[in-house]
Amino acid sequence: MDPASLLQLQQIADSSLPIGGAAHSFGIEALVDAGLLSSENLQAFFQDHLSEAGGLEASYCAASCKLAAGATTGDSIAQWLRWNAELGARKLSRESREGSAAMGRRFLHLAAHVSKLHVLLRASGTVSDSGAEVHMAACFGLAAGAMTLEPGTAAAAYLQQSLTALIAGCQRLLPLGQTRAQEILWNLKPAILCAMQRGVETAPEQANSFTPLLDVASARHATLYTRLFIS
Amino acid sequence: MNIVTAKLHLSFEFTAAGTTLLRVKQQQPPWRVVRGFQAPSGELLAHLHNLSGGILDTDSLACQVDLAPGAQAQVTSTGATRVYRSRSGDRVASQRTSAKLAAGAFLEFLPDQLIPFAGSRFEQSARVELQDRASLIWWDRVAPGREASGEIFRFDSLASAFELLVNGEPVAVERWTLSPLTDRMDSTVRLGPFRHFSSCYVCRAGEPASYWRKFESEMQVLADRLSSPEILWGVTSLRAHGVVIRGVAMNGRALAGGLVEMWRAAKWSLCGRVATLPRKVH
Repeated sequence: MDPASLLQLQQIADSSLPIGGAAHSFGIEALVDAGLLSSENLQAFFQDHLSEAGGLEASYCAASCKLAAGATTGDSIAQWLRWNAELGARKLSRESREGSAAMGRRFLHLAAHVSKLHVLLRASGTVSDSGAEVHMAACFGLAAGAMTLEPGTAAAAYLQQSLTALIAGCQRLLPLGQTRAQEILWNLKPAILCAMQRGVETAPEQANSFTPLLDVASARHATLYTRLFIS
Repeated sequence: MNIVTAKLHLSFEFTAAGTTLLRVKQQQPPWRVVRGFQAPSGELLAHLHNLSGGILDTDSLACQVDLAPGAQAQVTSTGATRVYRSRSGDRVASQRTSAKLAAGAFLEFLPDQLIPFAGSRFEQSARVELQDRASLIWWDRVAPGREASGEIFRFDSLASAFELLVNGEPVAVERWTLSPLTDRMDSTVRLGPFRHFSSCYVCRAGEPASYWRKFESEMQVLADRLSSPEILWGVTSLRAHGVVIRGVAMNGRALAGGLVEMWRAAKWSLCGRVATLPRKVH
């Protein structure tokens, strides 16, 4: 990877990017509230999270990246929007779906605005005009592809970014220190790469994910008595 | 070993007299549907029999259910779907279901639970298509195995794909594969301390998002009441046209009872009809 691409990737994959990533827990707050998630089982939880939800999102991210790297036409933007609709349908829980959609929309507009890349400007304009639902994984992949990054690199960077944000969220919910948080993030690199590999090799419509307890927790989030995160 | 490819095709039609009529267009063994029965809540009830008593590894089953405009149907099984141990090294049993609901049709699809036996391999898929103002209640329930025999997650693999579309647009999509001999089912991402899981989709094509947000809020009150450390229920709006009610439980009986309570409330809320369990359950 050339230094310019590396710098661009580092910027879009920064978990502190102003797209609202810190406002959503994607079901984790409700799992903590139900006593099902603690500092002790956090690393194992994220390992399986990467294996299920991570692999699914990686497939949409990698496919979007490949699509943007090719010649993008009106048809390819339409295909990308179909993937976004499908990914939205796969996110059964409203809390997680709306969080992903809000972040995706902000990310796309921000990336288009700062990069001025044709593909992103076109996609951003289409989304603004149509109000179409777009999701973070697919938007990240599209932006990475527009920056000529490889699908595997894009998916790995996306997974690392989203995992970093989730672990940071856990620091607000659980007795989890900064050192332990970084240790978990470090230890999960092989799981990130495994999910990335599966995502690159699997067509989005064929990707599997089994997260019923996380989905139920996410559905229950809106009814928690006190909440740090948005439902 | 011979593969048993069998198709069942049911067509529910709406007569000029305002009643629903069942036509069995095709049925190949082990499928068997005897006739339609008038349910107290107004739908025409059909029982899906599997004459084998369960699914064998040589089975490749397909079920198609079509509802004409205005038709009202309730479809159930005659008992739990048992998936038997695979006798061959690589065989995977399969069952494909498709349902097409024309404008204004109403379908309740309420099968009994799926029980994958130790050593079984099974793939199930369902595709449901709704047109304008069509309504749907569709549930499924999966057990970890034959618990009474100590079989808890001893099957080789269980794969499931579910697609719900309204006017061609995807509304809900599930695709998962369980390999409990290699993946931990008790992961907090998957089932945690629970063993049984269930989904119930409640939809009507064309209702606005505000309708479903209110529906979600009302049903979540019941979900909270039915939840305990042994069972958790959640209700959430789909991206359009419906909600999904999901439950996870330590005990199959508790999940079945809760699912029926949620179904009764959802059916009343959706169409103002009193839900009566299909007759074989009594």
